[in-house]
Amino acid sequence: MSDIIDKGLVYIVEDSIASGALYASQLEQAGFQCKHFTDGYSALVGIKEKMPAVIVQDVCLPDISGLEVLQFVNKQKNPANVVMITSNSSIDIAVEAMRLGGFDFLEKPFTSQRLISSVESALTPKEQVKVQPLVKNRDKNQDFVGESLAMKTVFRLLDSAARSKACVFITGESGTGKEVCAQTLHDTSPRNTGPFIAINCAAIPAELFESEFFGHVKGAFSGALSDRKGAVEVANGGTLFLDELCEMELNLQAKLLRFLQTGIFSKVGSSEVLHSDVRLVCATNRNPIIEVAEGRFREDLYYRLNVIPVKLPPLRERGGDILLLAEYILKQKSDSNAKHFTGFSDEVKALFCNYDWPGNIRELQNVIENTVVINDGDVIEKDMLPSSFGLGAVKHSISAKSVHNTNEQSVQLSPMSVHDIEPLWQVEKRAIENAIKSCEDNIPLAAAYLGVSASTIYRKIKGWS
Amino acid sequence: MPISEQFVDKSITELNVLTQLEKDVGTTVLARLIKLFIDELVTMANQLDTAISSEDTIKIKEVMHVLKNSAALYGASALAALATQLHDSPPSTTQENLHAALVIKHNLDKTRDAYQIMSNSIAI
Repeated sequence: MSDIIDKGLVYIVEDSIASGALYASQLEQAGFQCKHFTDGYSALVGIKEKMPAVIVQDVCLPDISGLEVLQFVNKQKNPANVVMITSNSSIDIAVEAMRLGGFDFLEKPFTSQRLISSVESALTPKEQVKVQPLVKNRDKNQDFVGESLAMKTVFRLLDSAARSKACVFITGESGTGKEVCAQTLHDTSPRNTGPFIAINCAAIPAELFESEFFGHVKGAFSGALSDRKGAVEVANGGTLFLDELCEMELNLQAKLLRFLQTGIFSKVGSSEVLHSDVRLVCATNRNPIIEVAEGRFREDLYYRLNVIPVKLPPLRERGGDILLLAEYILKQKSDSNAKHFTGFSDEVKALFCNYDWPGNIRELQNVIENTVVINDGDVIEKDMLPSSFGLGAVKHSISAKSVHNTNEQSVQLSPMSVHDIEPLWQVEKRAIENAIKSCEDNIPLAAAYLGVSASTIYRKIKGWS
Repeated sequence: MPISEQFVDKSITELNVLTQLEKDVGTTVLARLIKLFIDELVTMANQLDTAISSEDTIKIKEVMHVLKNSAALYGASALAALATQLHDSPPSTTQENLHAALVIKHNLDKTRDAYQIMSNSIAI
């Protein structure tokens, strides 16, 4: 025992004596010092007396919620990183814990290797984590600028997410900056010295998916002339960004889920078990709930990945950011093409603000670059813009909103007496039952149309009976 | 593996789980942990008895919460599966709930006895 290096003190907060003792034994074998608490209050006392390096915390405790312990820890000086333990039935609490500043979560049952890996990752003390606040104008992530309320919300979410290892799921239309967002998250996280590996799941042929992800050994298949590391192994210690995640085939989704749950994988053609520590960021421009409802995406994988959802707004909804971005891109393109443009005419500004931008920031970049390359001058005029640019388009969101408002106004709510007021649960029950009936008893599809998860519907149905 | 297969009831215990535990923590620690698990089973059995007598379905669920995870960790997969089912999808009536709890109590007693036999046989 004296030869084992002391890696640090870990508190285990778990109400089962046998389970807590097992976790402690596994961590002690790996060189940690452990102390086991069987309830929340005694853990709070222990934390107050001495803050450990890491806390491994069950979300469900007999006396208080694991979230309360987490919040208590985060209020202390030099708070430890907290790894939450959850069972399948309490995964929504674990997700909430990540949003409250939890470092990682482990879903029972987990292997010793997974536990040790998570605790080792959590060893970096929070105050030593050099998390750089998101700087709006960064040369590296030139598109990630924004002063609109929608983008300020995104920046705040990313600032919190940067410190954690929890999976981030970015959604948004094509061209809204999902990869830039993922890169920014990596750059501001403690993993910024590690690799950032981006995989576009739509660009990989289905038969090569598994090899791209997990690698292969020589001879695993025709064309496998040598061993190759996959993205998961290359990204070890860093961030793995999976773009167009909903294009992934179902059988690979199962393998990805296993990797997320255990941290272990095998190369194609090999039975050797390997381990990798990655922070996963995913993105899609589809609606993942619809993909789950229609059976193209695994529900269990979706909930495992959707720990910190980030929705990037389309450019048309970002108000003043359109011109902010346009000016920034204009300067970049002018400099790189040795041109001298300094701004836009008022007419062009109005056009930009009223245009729908179906291609979002990517389209804005293309329009400006095209204009800069072909023309000369100081100010971008209307006649310099590409002929293909949708000059007559107005914001769809405005016209859609008008239609929506008209529809709302046409449904007049007649005044009702207090006797007509129904309990909310009955109103909700009726809405859910009608949706299920309309979807021919397809509950996941009904949930998608209602804008909630399928498990929420199942929980409510159980609650009514 | 310190436990000879002749002492393992495979309808109750997944031996590969215990084999992996032995690799993780060693024989001496495994023997100590199995004793802790047996003690926990005894405690849970007493709590379950009390909960069934007083028809306390909330307490039954609390016991299932502990059992479903620790039983799985120690390879008592049949007990883990039953406890998970009662915890995650409890019957709608109290009587059905109590009946299910009684079934689990019976299974728990069998599991405790099986692990006691294994514990007694561990060669350190």
